Amino acid sequence: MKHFGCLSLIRSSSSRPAIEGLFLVMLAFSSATAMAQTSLEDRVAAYRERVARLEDQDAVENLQAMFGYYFDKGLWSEAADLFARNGSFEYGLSGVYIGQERIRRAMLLFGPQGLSQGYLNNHMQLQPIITVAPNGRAATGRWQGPVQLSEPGANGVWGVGIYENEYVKEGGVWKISKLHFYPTAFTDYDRGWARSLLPMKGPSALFPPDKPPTVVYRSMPGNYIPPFSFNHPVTGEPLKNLPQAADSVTGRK
Amino acid sequence: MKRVTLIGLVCASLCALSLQAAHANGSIDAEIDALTARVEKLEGTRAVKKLQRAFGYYVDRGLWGEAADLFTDDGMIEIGIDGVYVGKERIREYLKRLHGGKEGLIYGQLNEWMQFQPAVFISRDGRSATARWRDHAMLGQYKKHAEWRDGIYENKYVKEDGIWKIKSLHLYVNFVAPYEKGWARLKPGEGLVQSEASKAFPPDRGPTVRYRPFPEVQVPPFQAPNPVTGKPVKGAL
Repeated sequence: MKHFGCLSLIRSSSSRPAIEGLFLVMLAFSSATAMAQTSLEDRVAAYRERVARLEDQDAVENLQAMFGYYFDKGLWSEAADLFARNGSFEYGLSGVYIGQERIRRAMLLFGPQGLSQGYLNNHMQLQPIITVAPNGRAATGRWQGPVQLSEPGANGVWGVGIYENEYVKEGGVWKISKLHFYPTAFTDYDRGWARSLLPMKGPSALFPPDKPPTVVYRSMPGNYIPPFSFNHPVTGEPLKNLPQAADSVTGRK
Repeated sequence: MKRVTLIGLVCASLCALSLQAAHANGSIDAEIDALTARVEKLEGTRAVKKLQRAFGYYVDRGLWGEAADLFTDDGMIEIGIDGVYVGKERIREYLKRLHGGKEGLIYGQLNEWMQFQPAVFISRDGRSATARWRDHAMLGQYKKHAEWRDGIYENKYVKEDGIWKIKSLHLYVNFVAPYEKGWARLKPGEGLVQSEASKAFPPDRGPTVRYRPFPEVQVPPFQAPNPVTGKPVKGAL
């Protein structure tokens, strides 16, 4: 706009070709510079977004790793603080707990605050596939989760399962909006998974969940495929029609 | 007169435009500098992960020298209650003695030191980092014994002349449990003992912390604050 203003001023005040020529050169120079600037700024802006998405991915990886470290040791408050305002926590068939305060109390079902002698609550958070939304405000993560458990006076337990979680960025900070652990199998330590498969616990009578389980399935020896948050990395397609085992009780065909 | 005014006007406009361009380039330069610093931190996170994973792969196979070379000249290692070994040469010798005193492993020795679940935090200036890792190990000697180990690393890293190195490695051993009996039958104190290597080849300094293994509760102190609240998190040893 500024340049056109100049042009009309000059046109009205002079018609000398030399000056017009000079002016046209100037105009060409300035618009080329403006274009170059725009595209350089656009390119830098695009890079800034790409860098931000990588930072988001790293932040989500740290967030879930720290969840595991707190959860392992019965640091329920620290773990619950990682959830978003209406965050939800769902473990196997135990149902859904919503909000930090409910989640904090639900975690007491895994052992006392800070655990105590004889409790082991190792929940590993491994092998992440993290997908950050293009706008950088939400993300999903699938994780592999071996489990080592112990309670005073009881046999040790091995477990393994899959996490399919969701995350949200609130006020620039990544938080867990949904944590869903799908146990694959639990087994008595001494007998191993060829001889012993332990069923999942149902909703607690002591501290019932806010909602029933969102997905009902059998852990081993049943098979269940937790739906995938990420599209196939080569075809780019979501995975549909997963070959789930039929179950006459749940009605899954 | 008019002509002079016009030329002046044109010159002034050109001048203003080039100043504007210079200003835009200046801010673009600043933006690129800021992005470069952020990318260097992302690269730092990856370098730290690679470094720690390489440590695991080298120790797994008895490559003590390679493992020790991952440390700074004044680097430190502290495993369980063995105390602190300082400097590459001492670290190499300690690791070697800890595993039977040979280059490489012994026939029938299993020594898988898995390095899992990194939470890497790069410092504001991008020149150092801390990380918490999960130790999950399968140990043993064919026909003699077999163990699971569970622990937590809280480590420090530093970038020296553009290369990330381990400044200190601290493995808090939660338990070493016999495969046969498992962790649930460990009696107090059984899950962690001072190694024979550290008795015969004493450390430069004693253990920096005293703690008891599972079945006692052991929470290795957190170097990083809670990532959501930003508040420090205490350990319990």
